[in-house]
Amino acid sequence: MPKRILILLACFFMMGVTQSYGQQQRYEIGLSAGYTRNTLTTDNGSRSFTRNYPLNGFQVAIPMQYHVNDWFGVQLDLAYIQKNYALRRTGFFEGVENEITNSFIQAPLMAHFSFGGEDLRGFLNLGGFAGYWASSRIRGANLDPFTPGSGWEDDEQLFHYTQISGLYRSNEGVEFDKQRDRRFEAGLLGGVGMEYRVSPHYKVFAEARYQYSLTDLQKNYMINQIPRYNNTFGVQLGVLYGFGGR
Amino acid sequence: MALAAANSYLSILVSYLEKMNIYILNIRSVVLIIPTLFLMLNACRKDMPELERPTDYPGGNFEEVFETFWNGMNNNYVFWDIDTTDWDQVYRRYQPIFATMNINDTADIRRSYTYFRTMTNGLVDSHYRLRFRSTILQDSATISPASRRMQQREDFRNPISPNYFLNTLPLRDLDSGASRALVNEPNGSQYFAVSGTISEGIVYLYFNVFDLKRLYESSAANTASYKEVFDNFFTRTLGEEQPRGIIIDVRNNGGGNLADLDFLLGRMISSPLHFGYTKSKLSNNRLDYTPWAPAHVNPATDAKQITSPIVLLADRYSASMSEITALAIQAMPNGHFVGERTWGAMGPLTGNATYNAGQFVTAFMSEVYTSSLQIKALDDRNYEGIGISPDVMVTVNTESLATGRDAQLEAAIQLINRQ
Repeated sequence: MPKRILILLACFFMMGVTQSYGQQQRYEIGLSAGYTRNTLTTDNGSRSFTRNYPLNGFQVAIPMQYHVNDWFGVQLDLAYIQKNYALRRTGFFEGVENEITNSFIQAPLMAHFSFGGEDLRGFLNLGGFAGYWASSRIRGANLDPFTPGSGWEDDEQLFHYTQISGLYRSNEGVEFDKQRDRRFEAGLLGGVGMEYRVSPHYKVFAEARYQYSLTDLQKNYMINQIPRYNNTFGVQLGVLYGFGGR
Repeated sequence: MALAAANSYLSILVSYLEKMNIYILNIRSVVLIIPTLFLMLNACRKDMPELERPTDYPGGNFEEVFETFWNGMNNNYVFWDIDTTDWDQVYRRYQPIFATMNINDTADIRRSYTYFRTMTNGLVDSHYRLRFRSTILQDSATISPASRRMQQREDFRNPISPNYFLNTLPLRDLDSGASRALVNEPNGSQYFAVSGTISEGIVYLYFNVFDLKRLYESSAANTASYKEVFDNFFTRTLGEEQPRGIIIDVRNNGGGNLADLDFLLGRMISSPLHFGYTKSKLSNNRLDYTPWAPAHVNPATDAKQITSPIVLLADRYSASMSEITALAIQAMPNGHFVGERTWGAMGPLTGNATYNAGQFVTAFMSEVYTSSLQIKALDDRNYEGIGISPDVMVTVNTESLATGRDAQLEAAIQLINRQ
């Protein structure tokens, strides 16, 4: 299946190159930054009062484009991107939560299709990404069996476990586990956006992009392992400097 | 030149692909490709295993009985990062066997007991035990890997008789004025406690189970003498003058309630005492752990800083809360531990809903008793399955005890006298 996808992408690339060669090529490099919201695809199965939630983050990238004609190009980004999520206890265990901040260094490679007028144009990016899980941080509050909870009087009802047991709040880096953590991530992405040429050399753009990871965040270390996949929606603003060609 | 060469190469490649009847698509086709691509993507991700609560499986056949137990352990056992049992290998070995067994066959039910005992034999959790619902297995012993390991020790001995602590030691070793209490509860539980002084100035306390706070605060008539034992202990310990030393005897004490750590030691410290770390599970996978959280003894409101030596007496049958108490006392600047290496069951327990790990039941098993948290000591070592080593090693000699000599108690007194 991935082989067919690669062939299709190769076809797009070659079509653009072969149909337009002869015109002058244009290169662009720039800087972009924006917001991300990551959702984890996983399953907490039978775990009681335990839910995953999406979390916000940010991304910064150096986009590099190679335009082979006025509607097709290839884009490679060098990006820092956060793919965060939260694991929270609900109901009786409300208050117990962990927010995980995951930082990735990744390189999305995309076919860049643009359309529209001379200055204001829309574009579509389609491609894949490969990345390295650089760091992880966990901030949260977990039950501490050795700290008494807030308590309750004899005539009061019990609403939360935190009345029984206290919470330990922490904010610390996660040490990667060689047996558990898969630090290479790859997947596919698609983005749409608008770009506006503000001068012969500069243009600004805004893009909404969705990244769909195809690699589990964990290595296969156990039978009946529950996989975890990142799904990252991002919105970014950027500027590109063009040189070469028109 | 390079671009010309690349273009030439690509042109050749394109014509080759065209010859292979692979169609080059125009930009309009992209609109159709996108949803197609995303449909294909789902096939690239792994399926989620179907996991229900262990209690939800009916257990109508042995294949399901095994799967339920194996998955229950897979998801709720808290020691997978330090346990040497290859749980995947257990699955590969026993799943095919259980798939051929019949739950209506008495011989197969008896075989299952042997299989469950073998597959859990090496588990490091020293609280661990299995009990079964089947009437056919009612005459079979509870499966307890740690008990089995204890029985296989070359220097195996039986526990010291409870009668020794309730009757022999108080009358023989304690000064006059010692207090004793015995509480029998309707559910069959028996609690007893002893407090007094030794050698004029050393305060001594014994209790057989950690359920001190509940019994002390109980208004039941049968707990009045129990409360008196502790009132005497606290009066002697927390009075105006520091005692010459304190001996807390948890030999043969299998543990109990965590709240007793603050109830007992929290009265002897004026600031929180950091003695170790705990962690539990975040979710189902074996290595989904919470961060380590510091474990403290919290000072009571009427606490007094004890500066005189506090000596814990413990032996190989001191387990769970007794061992946690040993960790805490060893973390005190004036704390000492005299006796034998403890049982090695350090992890606190409760149902698996609280900490996403711990005890569960199935249709076939009335109890899978296992820890909900791990504890590690201040030296970053986890002593589960190992036990806490004493500062002064003195082994129990039951023959010597019978003839009136308690070497461990003597060592504790000597240690205090030397301070």
